[in-house]
Amino acid sequence: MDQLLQQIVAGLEAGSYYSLIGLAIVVIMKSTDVPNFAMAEMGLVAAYVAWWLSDDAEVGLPFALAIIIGLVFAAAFGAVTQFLLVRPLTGLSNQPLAVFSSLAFGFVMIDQIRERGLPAFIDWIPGLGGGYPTPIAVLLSIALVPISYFILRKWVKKLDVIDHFPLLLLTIGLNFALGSIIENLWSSTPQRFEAPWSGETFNVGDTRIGVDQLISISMGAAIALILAAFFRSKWGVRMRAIAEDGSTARMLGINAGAVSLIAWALGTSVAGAAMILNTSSTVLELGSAEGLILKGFIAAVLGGFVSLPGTFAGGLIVGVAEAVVGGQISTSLQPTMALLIVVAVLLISPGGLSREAKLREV
Amino acid sequence: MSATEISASDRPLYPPKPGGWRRHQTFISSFWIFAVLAVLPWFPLLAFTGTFDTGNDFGAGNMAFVFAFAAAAVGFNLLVGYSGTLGLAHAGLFALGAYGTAILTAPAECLDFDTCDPVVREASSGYGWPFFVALPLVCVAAAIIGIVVGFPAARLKGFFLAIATLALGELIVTIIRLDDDVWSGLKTNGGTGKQVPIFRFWGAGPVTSAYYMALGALIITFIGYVILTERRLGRTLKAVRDTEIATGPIGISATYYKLVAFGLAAFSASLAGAAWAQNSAFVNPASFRTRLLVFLLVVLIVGGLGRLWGPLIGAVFFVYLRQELQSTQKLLFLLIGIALILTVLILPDGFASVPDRIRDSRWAQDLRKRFKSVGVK
Amino acid sequence: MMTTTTTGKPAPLELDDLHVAFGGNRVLEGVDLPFKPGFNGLIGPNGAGKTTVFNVLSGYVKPTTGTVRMEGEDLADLSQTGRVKAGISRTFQSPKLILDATVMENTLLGRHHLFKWGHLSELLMLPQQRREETEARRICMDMLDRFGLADDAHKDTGDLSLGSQKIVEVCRALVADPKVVLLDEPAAGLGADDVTVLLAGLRELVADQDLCLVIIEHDLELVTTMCPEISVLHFGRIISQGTPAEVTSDPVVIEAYLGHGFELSEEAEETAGESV
Repeated sequence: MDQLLQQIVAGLEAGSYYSLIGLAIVVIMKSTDVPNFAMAEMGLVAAYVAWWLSDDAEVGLPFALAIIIGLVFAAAFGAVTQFLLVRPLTGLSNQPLAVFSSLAFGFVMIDQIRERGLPAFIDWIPGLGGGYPTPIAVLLSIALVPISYFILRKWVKKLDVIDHFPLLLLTIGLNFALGSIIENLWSSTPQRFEAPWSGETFNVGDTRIGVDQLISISMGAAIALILAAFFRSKWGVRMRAIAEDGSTARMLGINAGAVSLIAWALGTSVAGAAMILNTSSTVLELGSAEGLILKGFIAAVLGGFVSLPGTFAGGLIVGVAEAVVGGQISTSLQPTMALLIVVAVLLISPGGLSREAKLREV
Repeated sequence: MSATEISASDRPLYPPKPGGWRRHQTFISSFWIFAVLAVLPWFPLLAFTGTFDTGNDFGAGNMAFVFAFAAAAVGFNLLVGYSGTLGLAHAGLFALGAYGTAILTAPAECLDFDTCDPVVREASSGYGWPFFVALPLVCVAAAIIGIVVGFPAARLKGFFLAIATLALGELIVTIIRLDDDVWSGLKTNGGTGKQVPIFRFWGAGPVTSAYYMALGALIITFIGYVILTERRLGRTLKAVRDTEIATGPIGISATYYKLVAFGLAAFSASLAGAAWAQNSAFVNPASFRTRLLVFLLVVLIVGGLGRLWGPLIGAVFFVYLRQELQSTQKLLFLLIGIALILTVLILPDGFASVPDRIRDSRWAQDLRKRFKSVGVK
Repeated sequence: MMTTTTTGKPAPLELDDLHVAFGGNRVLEGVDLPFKPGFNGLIGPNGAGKTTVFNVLSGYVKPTTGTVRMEGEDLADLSQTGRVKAGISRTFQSPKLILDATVMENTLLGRHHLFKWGHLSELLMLPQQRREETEARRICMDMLDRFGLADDAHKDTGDLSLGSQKIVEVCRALVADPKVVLLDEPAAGLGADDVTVLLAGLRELVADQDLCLVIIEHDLELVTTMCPEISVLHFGRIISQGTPAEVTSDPVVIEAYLGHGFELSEEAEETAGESV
């Protein structure tokens, strides 16, 4: 029973991260009906940006400024993602997607063709193997750009309603792609991302508690409250309307495009905040997001995908259970706690912990 | 079509099939494809590319991976594509097949602890059963566990079911990993992993044996899939997928059929897992985590959900990519990610749907009309 | 209180003092509905609870109080599958069909509960299973033929018009060897030709097989022509019951639903005369 307090605090800290990611997932789900598997990864991108801007890395801005810019970046990133990837699937134009993707595609291909030539299965054509000088690589990929643009324009479906499952796959793909991009832009070695309060501790009786833990926990709660208030506001209601029935909402004059952008911006900043808190308290590395996304989804599931308080509570419960069981019984059992909790809760209450939770069809 | 298969009003009871060889198109094309695959090791491929050159161990080994993934994907296809149930415990069930056969077939000789080198003992101890006795048992056991995993399907829908089954699948892998740390007796050797004794066919080398094991797994799952989906089970599963509310008043128990789908999927996953283990010769819990599930999803989706050849096409795509990009790991995930995104956006029915889409597209129809008018058939 | 028909047999289907409430929302109150063999109409404004009646009958909803009896037997304990085997079949307001399967395959689903050979024999491709399947297909084809869909049997259901799809759903319900068939707005969305074919087919079947048909409809001309017995549901209560003539001249019904100026067609007058 010793160290119980310390374990509980550690659990609340981890749980705050789970809750925040879960809340971000629920915000986007509640408003645009997209299950975003890439949520934690998107937050991680923002954390990397904040780190890179801070005085632990190149740019050298003070910590507070760095994270503010990081959060703003997160919001913008979320909005852009929604604009490019999700909008085409909701009956609106797929042109921005086509333009952006073709250009990105061309850009990547320049690099690849320069290094590796054409794919190996054309290798047997004499003279075509191996790398190419830059000008030829550029020309070849410029040729590819209009082709891919044409394909994307023509074939990307414009549907009013798209099932959750394809959207989930889409975001899984995004998750992978982002992980890769982060690795390419920054290195794969873990980084120190220090907050002004890192390393400071204080004592409660015999227990030592980190200031960063306290900050994570309180920030988590604060953000949850802000979100709850937001969803009661005018914008929040609009968001829920869009998710319920997009076309009807539009007919009622709600600007679905603007509302979706704001929802994604909001969700991504919450995820960004979660990752910034997490990485400044632990360590900044590529794998930081991987464990969190599943736990975030578990928290969201516990909240029935609609309830913010349920999600928040769910994340904390998982965090504390993990830490206490892990500390008191055996560390090996730690990873099982989240799984057991979610299975048990769902079996007892198929809609999650919240009373207002509905069963959503995929 | 026999004379008895026409109704009183002279209408055909089964969909009329085109005459000649097209009648049995599926059978014939599958037969040939599998026949070619079966004799492939004797004819090393011309540079389709080094990845699949069956003239060397490396290429044949890759092909074996393709078959194993494809076999797992076929079962996944039945569950997710046909019955529309998001049962994501597949990676765990795959692991059951791999570990199950590894443990049961590993030699028991090192059980005399005093005389055995401890490292060797842990990594290779088992029960010493013959492979083809262990295999069906493991698959049936996995099918039962798969049905248990599927029980939440009675009460959960969609996303919630997905997360619950995902958790259960992870739980299976965790139980495997924690053996000897928290409890003991499963002989899984915990996180360190276990060696897999390779079953050899009549003097063939380990790689060739693994090749045929995996091909066999694929053929079995494929045949099962084709038979069941062409018949009553197929349409019943589709009814569960598309008209679940109406299944009750028809007398179809949706829950029962979802469990059947779970059982069948688990059976094929474990069969594929056993074949996979034969090929990699070593099993370790880290290889069966959620990442494997996502790979299987990629195989299935990119290949084509609900399509006959989807799993095989997807598996080729995935293994090829994984091999080619082994040196640049970063790019692997980027490309997989992009492939998924593009598939969802452009080719929601996967590569396997390309011939259909071309055939149904406007310019193909125009071409056909033009040919007809010129008198060319 | 059980009712018997004039032939002395228990009523093919009857609801006795049925109450259904969802939370505080009372959807059906004190509903007494004895159905007679042949065509029965169930009409009323939207939201009156007609589909809820069907949902109770097919087992989706448990009544708060009251009994449902089929040929004298209480249905209360039967599961949905049990009710199908007892002989209740239904269609839905919007057809629930597999769009990428053929018409024949969708219709075959109706025979599902009658198949004796299971899926294992299917996997082993036993000849008995094949024979059973062929026989089932024969029955389905004959049913489709009755309703003019035999030529479409092997087309994808999604390619058919909505009206034809609704008829496919009716066929699916009919091949299940039912004693009672519940049709939820079968004619809605159908063109005049389709309606004629549908009704002719139903009439034949009712005559051949002594079925009890319950039809929810909004098309009053249709209901009054087809159904010698009509019940009117309004806000969860039965406000009138009887022949078309009786019901359409009932002032309560006129006030609540019909409006003034509805006149029974000649055909309907004839039907009214025929009622048992």
